[in-house]
Amino acid sequence: MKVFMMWFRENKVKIIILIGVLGLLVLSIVGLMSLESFYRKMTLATLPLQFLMVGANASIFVFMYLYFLQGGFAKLDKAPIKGKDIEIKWKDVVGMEDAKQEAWEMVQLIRDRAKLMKIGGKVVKGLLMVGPPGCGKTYMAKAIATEARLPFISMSGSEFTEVFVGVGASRVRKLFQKARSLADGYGGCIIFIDELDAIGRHRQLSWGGGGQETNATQNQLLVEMDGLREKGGNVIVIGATNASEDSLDAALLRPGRFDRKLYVGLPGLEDREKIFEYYLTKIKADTDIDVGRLARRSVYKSPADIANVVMEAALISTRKRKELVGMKELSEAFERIELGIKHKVSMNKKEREMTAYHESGHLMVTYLIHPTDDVFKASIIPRKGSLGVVYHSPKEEFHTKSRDMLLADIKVALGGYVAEKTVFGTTSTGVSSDFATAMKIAHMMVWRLGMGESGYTGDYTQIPPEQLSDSIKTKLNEDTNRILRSGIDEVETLLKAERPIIDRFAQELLQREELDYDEIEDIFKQYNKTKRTMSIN
Amino acid sequence: MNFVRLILVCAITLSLAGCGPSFPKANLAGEIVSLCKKEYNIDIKTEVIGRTLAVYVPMPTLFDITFAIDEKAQEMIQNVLLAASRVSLSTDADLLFYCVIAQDVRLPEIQVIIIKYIDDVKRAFYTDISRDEYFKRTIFDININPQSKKEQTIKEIFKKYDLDPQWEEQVLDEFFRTSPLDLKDFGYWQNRFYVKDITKPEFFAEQIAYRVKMRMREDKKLSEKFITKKVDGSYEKTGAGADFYIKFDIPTSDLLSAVGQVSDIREVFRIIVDEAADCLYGYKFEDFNTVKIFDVNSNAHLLLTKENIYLYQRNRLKMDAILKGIQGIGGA
Repeated sequence: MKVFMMWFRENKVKIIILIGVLGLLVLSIVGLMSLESFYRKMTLATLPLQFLMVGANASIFVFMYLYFLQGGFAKLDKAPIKGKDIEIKWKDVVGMEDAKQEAWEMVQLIRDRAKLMKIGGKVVKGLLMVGPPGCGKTYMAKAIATEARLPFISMSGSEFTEVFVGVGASRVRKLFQKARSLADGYGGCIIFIDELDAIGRHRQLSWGGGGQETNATQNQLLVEMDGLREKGGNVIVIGATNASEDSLDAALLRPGRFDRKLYVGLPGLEDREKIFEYYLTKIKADTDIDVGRLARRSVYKSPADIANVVMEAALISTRKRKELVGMKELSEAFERIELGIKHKVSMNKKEREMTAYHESGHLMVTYLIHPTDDVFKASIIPRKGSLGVVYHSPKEEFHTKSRDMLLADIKVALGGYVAEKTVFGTTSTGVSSDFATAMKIAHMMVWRLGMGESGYTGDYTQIPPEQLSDSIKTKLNEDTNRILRSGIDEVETLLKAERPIIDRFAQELLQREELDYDEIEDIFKQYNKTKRTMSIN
Repeated sequence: MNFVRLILVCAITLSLAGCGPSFPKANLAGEIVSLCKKEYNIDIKTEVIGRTLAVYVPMPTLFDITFAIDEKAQEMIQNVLLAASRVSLSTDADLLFYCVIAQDVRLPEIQVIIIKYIDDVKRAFYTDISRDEYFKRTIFDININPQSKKEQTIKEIFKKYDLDPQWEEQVLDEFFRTSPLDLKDFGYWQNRFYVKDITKPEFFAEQIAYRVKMRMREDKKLSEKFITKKVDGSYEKTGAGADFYIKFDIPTSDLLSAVGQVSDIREVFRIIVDEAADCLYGYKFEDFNTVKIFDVNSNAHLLLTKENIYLYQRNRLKMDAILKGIQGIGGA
């Protein structure tokens, strides 16, 4: 009996189907028997046709099902591109020398894979490129594919995600299936997954099933990357993300998956010069463009930003019906991208004067006090909701800021307020954002960086506010206020001492509305003032 | 493999289920009577003559006051036709035709006759022919019972010449109550079927005539130009072969005649050629040489060969070329 029950359990589905079929058969026979012979014959005669129709219907259904549910959503429309057709040569990758050097090793490893395997070396299966957006990760990946002379399939991490669970995993399977097939034909294939963080974040358990799809997709990616070695296909996965490496799942980063990590960061001064040189060759540009100055002006800018500046300059030049792009167009392009488009807002005389003195205050403090920033532009033309602007940026990139630099930032922010107060004896609402900036920096210096004068050193923001005593809070707030107060005093002294210069700048702005770097330099030179530079400690 | 076996078993079982006729030929006439009684509560009489099934349906009311077929009578006839079709199709008797004769019990001299070729019924069930074509292939006629006419005539003769009435029945029985020679003489009179075993050629000949009549009546333009008085179709077999004869009496309509106009008789020939070709080609009937078409009024005639019918149906011969063969009319 037990054996029978076991047999029944194992064959339950088959038995049910068999009983169903037999039942239907008996019903068919009974039904046919009750028909007159002609109708019986007619039914039997049309039976092959009915079988055919059922077959056709079933085929259509299966096709539709596979197309819309399986193939349709999971379908991979990515057409691979052959390495030689990408046409991004190694020399085209400019301004990321360190990353290039590391990537070149990767190319060598891909090319010499056979040799490496012969001597028992470890085959690199994955390269993870991390870095801020627009730094050329995709560009670098394409260049790797070109140099490795392999087909290249590019996908974005978000292309794997879908509302239907399993579709992402299915797409990963299909992607690797395609890549393996190409690897068989061409000797290798590169899969590039941009925005890897979309599927590569830490897997999480969600009772609601929210992260199930991402988890499944990532699991499949892990399985496929593990499977590469076993299946022998020369498939290399290059992932790129601008998210922090820590946010990616540890399983993805372990050796055997993304073995190599490449940091593609923002370009340095020399790199930026090279990038400007490269993009300027793509357009018709003046030969006397000062690439060094452009590079200095574009601190913290990514290659994509630089490309954008050059392309914007080309557009401005076209609009002006000029044949060549000059320094002026490039400068305008910078402003348009960074400062925004000028707005036509009519101000009354008093407002214009206050704005002119406000911006002159910022300008004076930046030029005479700030140790690292250059003033590239001062303007009283309204942009982005503000009535005026002084555009300044560091001459080179800094990865840390000293107390002096922070104090200078505060003073620059307070310059407008002090100027208004000194000249008009009153101030306007235009100081609100400046105060916010100054207060934020001063607060950070005291509460987080231990730069206050009362001796409280440490990051007090880590301590819950209710655990901090009122006296400490008072002391820290006094320190913050002291920094602001001393900044105001220093700026006030400066502006009072240099009143003729501030008056001159205000008048120039009221007259011309905008002053460029050269014009600003020229005015300061007239008063025998030079840009303050200081050593950065 | 098991699945294949299962399918095989299914197929065999289903095939076996299809064996055996529902209405065995031994009691065919009785089967249809009981079927009509059981399912439609209609009393009928039947007889099998050769390969033709004859069905008589007496009706309390066949015609309404406008002399159109009564609605209930129509329904009864439809039911009887369906029963006849069912029995004819589900029997092992080798039937070719069935003929339904409906009469008003109060006025049996007028009758409705419907003749169907069983193969057409089968093809209609299988949608092998269109519904329209199926109706064209069904001969439907309302006429005065030929036998009643005959008997009435004999009775009048006996009366007129004051003959001994005791001989009347004997004369009728011996000389006038015989099987009909033609489909036109079909009928049911005084508990007796006057139906013969219908052959395919004579049915086709009658069908051509019927199709022509229908077309001439249904086509508004033609019915304005012509009066369709008579169209007869027959099939004659001689030593030289067999031929169809279509004789028609379709003169110009009174309306046109009154204004001195004469309709072009070629139009009638065109219709007859078209219908004859459709009918004979449709049945793929080949046992004939020609279709001889006669206009009884003008003696114009046309000889349509079997080859020309086939060429015309295959669009290899134009109607105008066929009509050039009309003889006996001016300009032909």
